[in-house]
Amino acid sequence: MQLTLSENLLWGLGIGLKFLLSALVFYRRLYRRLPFFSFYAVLLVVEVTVVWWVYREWGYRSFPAWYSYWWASAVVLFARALVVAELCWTSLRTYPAIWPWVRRLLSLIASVALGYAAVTALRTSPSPLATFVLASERALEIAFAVILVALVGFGARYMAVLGPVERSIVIGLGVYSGFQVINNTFMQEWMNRYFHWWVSMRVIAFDIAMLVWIVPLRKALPPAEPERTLISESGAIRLLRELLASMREITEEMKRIARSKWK
Amino acid sequence: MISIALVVFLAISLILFLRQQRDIERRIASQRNVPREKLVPRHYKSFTEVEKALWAAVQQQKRSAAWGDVRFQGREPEFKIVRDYVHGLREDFQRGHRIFGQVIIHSPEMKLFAQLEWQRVQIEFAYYRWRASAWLRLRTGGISIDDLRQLTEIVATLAYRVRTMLMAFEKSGNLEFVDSILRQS
Repeated sequence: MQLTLSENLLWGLGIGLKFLLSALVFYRRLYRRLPFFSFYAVLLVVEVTVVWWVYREWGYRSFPAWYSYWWASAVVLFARALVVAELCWTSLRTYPAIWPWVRRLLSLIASVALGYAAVTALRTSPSPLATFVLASERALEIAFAVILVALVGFGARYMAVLGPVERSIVIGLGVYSGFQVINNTFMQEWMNRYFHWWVSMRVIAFDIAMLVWIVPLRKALPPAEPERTLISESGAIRLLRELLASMREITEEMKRIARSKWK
Repeated sequence: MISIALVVFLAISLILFLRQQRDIERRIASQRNVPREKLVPRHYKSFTEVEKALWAAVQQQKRSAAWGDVRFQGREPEFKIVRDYVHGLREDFQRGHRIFGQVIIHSPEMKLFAQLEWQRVQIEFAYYRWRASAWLRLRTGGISIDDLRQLTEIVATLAYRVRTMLMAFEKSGNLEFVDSILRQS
């Protein structure tokens, strides 16, 4: 069975956007700032070219097409996980207490998601590869969405504002992850009957994400934010302990005023 | 269906956080060339002038109640000064709170950071309670001069602690650090 005209058009549009994104990433030298995202953009071009070529050669429902699709999906999913980790790193690396903790948390989330996927795949004997990729995707897409929103929330609370490119990557990945969570929920039950729809919908969602990434790359990248000024560790600990004592006093003072006045 | 509810919740949170980030960006850009003394809480210092102005307005209206019992409502045109002053106090509080946030995020220890953040959350809750009460009083029975004095005390205490903290950082040779914190807050 071959691809329909609409599917061909969707794939064509997707390929065009992936080439454009990849070209812009290199033209704007984004690889200097975000190497994993740049690698991901290149990987998208390689993936779509290989899969499209296999579909044309052997057909949409052929054995090589099936294998190449699921392997490519697994590799791209892994690369997307690296992009999420890179976004966390670029935003949080200057905070000495936060980043090591976030790194451990990200590793834990990845281990849990892959462990869940492995157990699910081992239980499903007919197609463990597809089950592993789908289960990993289900777990990881939810994790990506939560991590990305938490990252933006952290930035809003501590005035750690994301740059325009990083922000567009977060929005694009967030939109795609959110969409995939909904898509997976709806299609989990009826995957076999609606597989074509499932694939087409994810292609559309990903095209939207790519458009979001392409928009800020149309213009030259703004200069990188200057590194945050840091203080020595010993000095910081001493001063912050003093600050903690002060804050405790303020809390007590406010509680006292609230009790006496605002009853 | 839980996952769909989660996605909706995350989407709304993302939009709100992105709007907050945009506001922060605008604020940082707008205060790039603002003198440093305007980047710390300062509205609370005008309490004496506000009290004088309110006294004059009350005298003009020939109200017979004792000074401590007079209630000022934000919607009365002559007491717009009260609304503006409460708004200024809110700005002061938020600025002090943001400065604290900027400092504690640089904590080298997670435990210390968690303790500081917990105190910050407690102060924040107390502030929101205060803000809700002030808002309600301004729109219903009115706010008294004693209430305003108490609010000023709260903000002045916070401002004093902020100033002391920044001075301690400056004395230890971290002038650039203090400047970057004030510009980012």
